[in-house]
Amino acid sequence: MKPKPLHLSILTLLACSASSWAASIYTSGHADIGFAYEGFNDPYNHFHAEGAIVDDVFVADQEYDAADIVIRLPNTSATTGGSGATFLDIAPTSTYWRLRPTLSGAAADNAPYLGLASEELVPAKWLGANNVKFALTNFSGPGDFALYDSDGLYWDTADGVVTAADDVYAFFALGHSHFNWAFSAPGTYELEITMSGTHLNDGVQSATETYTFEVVPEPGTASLLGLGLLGLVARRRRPSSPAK
Amino acid sequence: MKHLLFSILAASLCAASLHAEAPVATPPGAVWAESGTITLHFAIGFQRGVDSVPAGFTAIDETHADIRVPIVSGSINGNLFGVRYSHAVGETGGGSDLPFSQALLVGNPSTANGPLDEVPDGFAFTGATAGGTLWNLEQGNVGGMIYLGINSAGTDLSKLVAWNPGQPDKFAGYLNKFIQIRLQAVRGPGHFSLWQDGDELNQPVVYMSSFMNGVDAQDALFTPAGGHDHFNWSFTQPGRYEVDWQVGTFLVVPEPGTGALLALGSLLFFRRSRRASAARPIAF
Repeated sequence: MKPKPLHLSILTLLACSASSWAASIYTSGHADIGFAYEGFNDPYNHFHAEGAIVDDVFVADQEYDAADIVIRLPNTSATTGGSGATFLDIAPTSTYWRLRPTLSGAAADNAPYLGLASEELVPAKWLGANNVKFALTNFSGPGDFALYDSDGLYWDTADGVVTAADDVYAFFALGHSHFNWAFSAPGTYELEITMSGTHLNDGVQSATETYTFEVVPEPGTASLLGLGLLGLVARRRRPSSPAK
Repeated sequence: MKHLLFSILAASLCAASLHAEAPVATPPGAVWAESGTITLHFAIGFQRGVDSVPAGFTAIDETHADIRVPIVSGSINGNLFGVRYSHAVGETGGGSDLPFSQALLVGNPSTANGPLDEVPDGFAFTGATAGGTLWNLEQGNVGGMIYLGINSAGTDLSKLVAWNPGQPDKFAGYLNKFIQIRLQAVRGPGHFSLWQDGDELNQPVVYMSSFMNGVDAQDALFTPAGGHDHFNWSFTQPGRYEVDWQVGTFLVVPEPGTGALLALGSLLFFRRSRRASAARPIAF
């Protein structure tokens, strides 16, 4: 086996997880996970870039299907303490990774500024003041996750319960807010988000999609992983070297 | 001569600036530029259908609206600033633009929080008092009230220089192409403050407060150029308010080609004028 292709393939694997390698990568700027209603019985749960960096390019206004986007948390989003540690049920000194709820805070981390939005829904056509709901309905990942803001906690996995009743943020139509998105360990997470509401003419509408989040490890962790892989490459090269 | 050249350059860059005072040392290749005063008009406790809209104004309520401060073509032009709002509740995108002098930003009765049992920890900066009421135009789009943001989308970032305001407590302690919005004055029956929910519970990030130490240089927001963000806008009494702002940033000094040609042209014009006026007898 030629060493170079092996090296490349390992690097490729490192850069792109199996679930996300074909998707676009959202790395900074403003975007929302949004609820739109495209027509009769056609709710649309989607990702909406509005002044975001996607695949290293500035995107002013574009919608993506959930499967076509990966939301990446850089290592600069690593932090400790605060209510994030409480909601993730980790020690105050433990590192976790968090997207912040303000544009300037997110920009300081060079990280995504990610919100939830129902601003494409027309209020006059939807029931109730807080009847448009965004719920976490399924979850997988190497650690725990919490969605919260300065008013409180909305979604969390550390309690072992992930249901639409337990992990819900209630909106009105035309809503738009930003949050802390906190993850307790590096790696790839899948968040299944269900949006629902009652359209006054068309009845209950619901749309469920799975969003992928990649939490980039701290440089220390990444370096160790890289060293390990380089060691593996070196080990595999040795048997075919001319010295043998 | 050097002074004249600098003056011509500065005049071409900061036509709107009267007293250009940079908040930090000027980065290499940059020049600080400021707008003139812009005045926002608020009507707090205003009830549509009950209270009358002053002549010349459009009342903006229960919709998404932004204070727009784009910086284009490498200069600060206050004529491009204004309020952009959606026409009606539920309508997104597009919308109308109004100059500040015609936009009445409404804090309707649903923005009232009170009477307050106590002023929560960390919120003394608002000037609110126990037993009083605080009118707050909320940062989140909670419905039933204006959803008011600040937006500099459309800014030509290539004409701005990155700088560090050195204000980590305002999420502005790093290098970026920031726009500074400085509070100059507040006229109204109560106090005004501009703030955001922080990362943590009960840790608001305060940008402007007319109550804390009056209005001074600390009453400033630093927002990444080209961005769009939302804020809490708080008032301690109902009534009409006028809030004066000044917008500033560091602009790129033009390439020698442009700047030198401009300066040379101005100098030639200046010398021609002087020669002509020297040769011409002065008429009284």
